[in-house]
Amino acid sequence: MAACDVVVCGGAVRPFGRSRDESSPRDWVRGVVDGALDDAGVERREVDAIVLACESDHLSMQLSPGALMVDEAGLLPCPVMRVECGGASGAAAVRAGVMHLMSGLHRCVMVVGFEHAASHLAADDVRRLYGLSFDADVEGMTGVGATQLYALSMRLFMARFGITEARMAQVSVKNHGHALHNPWAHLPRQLSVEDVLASRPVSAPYKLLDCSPLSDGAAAIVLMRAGAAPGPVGARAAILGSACASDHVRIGDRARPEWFSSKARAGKVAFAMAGIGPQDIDVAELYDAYSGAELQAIAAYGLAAPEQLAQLGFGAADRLSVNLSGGLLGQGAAPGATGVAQVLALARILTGRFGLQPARTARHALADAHGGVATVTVAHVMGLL
Amino acid sequence: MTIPIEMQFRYQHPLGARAPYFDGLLQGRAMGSRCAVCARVSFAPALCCTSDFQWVELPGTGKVVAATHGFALIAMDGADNLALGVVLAPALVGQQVRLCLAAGPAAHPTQAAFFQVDTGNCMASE
Repeated sequence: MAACDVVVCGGAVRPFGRSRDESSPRDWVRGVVDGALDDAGVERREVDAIVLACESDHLSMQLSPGALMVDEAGLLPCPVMRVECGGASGAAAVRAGVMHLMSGLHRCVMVVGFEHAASHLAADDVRRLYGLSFDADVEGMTGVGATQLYALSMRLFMARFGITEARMAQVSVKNHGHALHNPWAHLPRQLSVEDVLASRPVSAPYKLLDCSPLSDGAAAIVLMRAGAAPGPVGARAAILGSACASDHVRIGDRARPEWFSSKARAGKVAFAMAGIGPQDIDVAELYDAYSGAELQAIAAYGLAAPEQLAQLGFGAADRLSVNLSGGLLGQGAAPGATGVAQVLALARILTGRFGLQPARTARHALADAHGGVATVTVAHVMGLL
Repeated sequence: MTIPIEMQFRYQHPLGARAPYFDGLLQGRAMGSRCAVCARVSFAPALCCTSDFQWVELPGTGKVVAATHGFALIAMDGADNLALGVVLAPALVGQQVRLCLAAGPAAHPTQAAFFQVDTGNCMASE
């Protein structure tokens, strides 16, 4: 197979958050598609396929959103495919876009993700719906939620690798702080470790500020292969590796419930495809649905030895910077849009356009997203091409 | 402009090949699966090497491996995986627990039984 060389030509994000302006996801999708075309310098008629990500029709009140949004975005008569993979829906749509191009079937793909998750349903209704996103029959109907499942996994991780609640709180402080520099972010906050530790207990060891919010949001990117994409050769951000792996949906069925093996596997494949190793990653957007999950992801990908997690930092000035966008904790979590926005953020970091002060130079990047409790992971390795 | 919308759905939801597991919970019994190939026992039941498995009743006792608010991962006696269990009172790692029938009707079979610290008698701490 030819080396993966899918250039991120450009993109746009509707800032994540709790939508209060009475706009509709249809407006958001049109806005990010127009913005992505503009940013990429690509004409609407050049787009020859659209991949749309949206996690839940219960949230969007729209079945078959692909058909609606291709029309809404003015991209008729493009082929359209809707992709769903829980929290990794946006990332899976990016991966489907990569497949569209690497297969040779398409030349210019618009990947769009949106989620209407935060502003229009009662919090308890949203929690009940998300309870169905694990094993609905066996576990979901007990009333268990994401926080309890992540908490149980993290309890074992903490015990195995000596991670404290204060160390997890540092992740929250870092990511909310990174979000201060991100105009797309839902929760930019200057926090202290004490703020996190003193926040309302949700499900031990997790407190409110260890948990990412649910967000409304949308994001779009334009993808083309290197031979066709505009821009100066060597200075374009590209996807060099794309992988997906899965694990038992019930964490109790896993040999090590604390170990995100879907990430270990997806990472191995994506790194091999890109011809690099985890030690070559300079910046990563990791799926920090909860503060501890960032540490679990760093360990599973081999970005750092788990025994060193208690000591190492992953801020803007460190060798490896994690979640410079703010991650899910700071930028927010709009499942259909998250994976798309991650890839765009990393593309802009790689090309020096993310607006970080001081600038963070990076040669290789990793985008990571998952559905469930790391049940299905989608990983993309990026670099300059 | 925003408008209120309310929707209600009623499902007649089939539980498929796992029905004996749910039926067991309604009676406070722990029905697990034993893989026909490797003999791995799972509670909740899980498909393993093939789709072929036998039902096996476990004693309903186990040990807490991890706990959080309202839920625990439990190593059930006789099972090779971990079960996610509802625990009404805070559970501690290492504690022995027992599957007990909840009082009153349950909205779903998985709400019909819960775990409590094992005193040899399900009703002892209620």
